[in-house]
Amino acid sequence: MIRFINVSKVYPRTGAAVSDISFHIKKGEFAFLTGHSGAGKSTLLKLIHFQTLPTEGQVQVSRYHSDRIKRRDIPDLRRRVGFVFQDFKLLERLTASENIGFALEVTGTPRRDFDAKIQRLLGQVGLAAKSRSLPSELSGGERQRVVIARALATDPLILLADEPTGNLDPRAAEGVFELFRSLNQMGMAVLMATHDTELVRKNPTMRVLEVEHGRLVYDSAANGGKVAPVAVPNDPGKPSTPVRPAENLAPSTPSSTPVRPASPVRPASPVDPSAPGTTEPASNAPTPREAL
Amino acid sequence: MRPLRDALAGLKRAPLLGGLSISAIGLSLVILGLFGLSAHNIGTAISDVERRVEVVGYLLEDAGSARVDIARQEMESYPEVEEVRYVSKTEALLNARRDLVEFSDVYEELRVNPLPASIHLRLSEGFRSPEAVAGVAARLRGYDFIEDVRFGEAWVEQLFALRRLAAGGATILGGSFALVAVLLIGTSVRMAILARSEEIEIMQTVGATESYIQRPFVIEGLITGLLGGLIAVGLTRLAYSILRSRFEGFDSLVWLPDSWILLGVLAASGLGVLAAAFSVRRELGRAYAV
Repeated sequence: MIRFINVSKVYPRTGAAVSDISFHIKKGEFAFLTGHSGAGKSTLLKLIHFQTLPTEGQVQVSRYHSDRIKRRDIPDLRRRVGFVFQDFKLLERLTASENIGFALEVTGTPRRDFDAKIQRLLGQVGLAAKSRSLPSELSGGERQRVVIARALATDPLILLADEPTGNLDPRAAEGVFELFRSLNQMGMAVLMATHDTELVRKNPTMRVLEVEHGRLVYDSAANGGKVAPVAVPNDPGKPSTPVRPAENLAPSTPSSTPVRPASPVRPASPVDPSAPGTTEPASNAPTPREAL
Repeated sequence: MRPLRDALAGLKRAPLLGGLSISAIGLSLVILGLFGLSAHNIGTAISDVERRVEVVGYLLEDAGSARVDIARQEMESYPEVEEVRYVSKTEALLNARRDLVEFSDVYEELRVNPLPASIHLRLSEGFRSPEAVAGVAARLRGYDFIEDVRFGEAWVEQLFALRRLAAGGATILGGSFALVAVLLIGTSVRMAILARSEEIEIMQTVGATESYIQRPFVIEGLITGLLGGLIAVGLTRLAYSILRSRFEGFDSLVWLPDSWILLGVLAASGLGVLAAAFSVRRELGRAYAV
C-alpha cells in the first residue's frame, strides 16, 4: 500500500531531509514512526501525502507512483490518505459538525448525504453529543477526535498522523490512540509519527519504524530489526541504506527487540543476505478492508 | 455556489482590504479612463482637421474649360478623392477679399485679377496620410494645365506625427496602468490567500481539487475588476461633467463611445480574472509537489 524505494529528499536550502529510505507498509497495518524532532518523520509523511516529491527513489501509495503522478491526480490520492495534524487545524468559527461538513463539501460529497455522514463520523469518534460545539469549547482530546473524523470524511484507506498526541495530556492521548487502534482494527492502515516513547513502549506488538538524521535506522518488522536493502524494480542491484539498529525508542518488551548498541552511526556492515526484500507487516495487522 | 459565496464572503470578511483593492483598481483605471477621454477627443479633433486636408492645383491662365472639365471628371473617379471643387478666378478674388481683410484695399484697386483658378481635391478617409496626399499631388501635377500644386506637406506630416504620438502615448500609458492594475489585483489575491491560508491548507489536505480551491479567488478577482471598472467609468464621467460645466473651452468635449466603455469594463474584469488566476496558481502551487 505504501512503499518507499531508496527514497531521498534534499531541500535546496536545508539539505537532505531523508536519505535512501526503503520500507513497505501493507494494507491494514499499524506502524509507529519514531525519531527525534528533525529526524525526518514529517518529511516522510509529506512524501506519502505527496506534499513533496522525492529527489531520488520512488514513493508508491496505492496505485500512485511519485515518478509519474500527475498534478491533477494528487487530490484524488489525498482523499484516500487521511491526515491528522498535531495542532488540529480546525476552523475555529465552525462547529464540530461544520468542520466535518467543510471537508465533505470541498471534496464534492452530495449535500443530501451530509447529515447522515457527519452523524456517523462523530459517532465513530465518540463525539455525537458535541456536534454543535465550537473548537474553542472542546478539550484537546475532543478537538483531535474532530480532526480524525474530518480525516475520515473521504473514507480513506490510510491514515497518517503527525504527532497526534503531542499536544494532549496522557489520558486524552490514550483515548486518541485507542481510536486509531479501533480504526486500524476496522481495516485502515495507520502510520503514526510520534516521539512519545511511553506510548510506543506500551504497545510492543505494533510495528516501529525509526528514523534518525533522515535515515531509517530501525524497523521492528525487518529481520532482527535491521533495516535491509530493498530491491528496486528493474534495478535490483542498487545498494541501500547502511544497516544500523536504532539507539533508542525501540520497543523494550517484545521478544523480537534487537540488541541495540549505543554506538554512533557507523558505516554499513555487510548486508544480511537473508534479509527480506521488503519488510513484513506487524503480526497484529488486521485483514485488509479492500484493495485500493 | 460555494465559490461565489466564498468570493463574496472573502470580500465581506475583509471589507477594508477588498474596498482598498477595488478603489486602487478603480483609481488606476480612472487615470486610464481620463487618458482615454483625452485620446478620444484628440483623435476626434485630429480627424476633424484631417477632413480639411486638401490638395490644391492652380491652373495656367490658358487652361481651357473643356479640358478642365474632363480632368475634373477623371479626378472624381480617383479612390483617394472624396470631393473635387473648382474655384474660378473670380471666386478666388472674392474669397481673397473676404478672407484677407488687411489686403482688401489692394484687391479693390486691381484692374486685372491676378489670382489663378484652382481645383481643390478633398481626400477620402484612409487616404489622408502624407504618402497618399503626396501621391494625389503628383497625379495632379501630371496635367499640363496645372501650374502649381500645394497641399501643406509640413503641416500634414506634423498632423500625422501628432496622431502617432497620441497613439503611442495611449499604448504606453494604457499598458502601464493596466500593469499597475494587474499588480494590485495580484497583491490583493495574495493577501486574500494569506487571510484564508488555514482553510486552503485544510482543503488541500482533505483532497479538494486545485480548480475548486482557486475558483473563489478568481471570482473575487472578477468582482474586484468589474467593480473597479465601473467605479472608473463613474469617476471619469464625473470628471467629464465637471470639465464641461466648469471650465471654458471644454464645452465641445466629447464623451467616450459606448463600445469603449463596455470594452474598458470587460478589460478590467478580464484583468481581474487573469491577475487572480496567475497569482492564485503561483501561491497555491507550492502545495502540489508535481
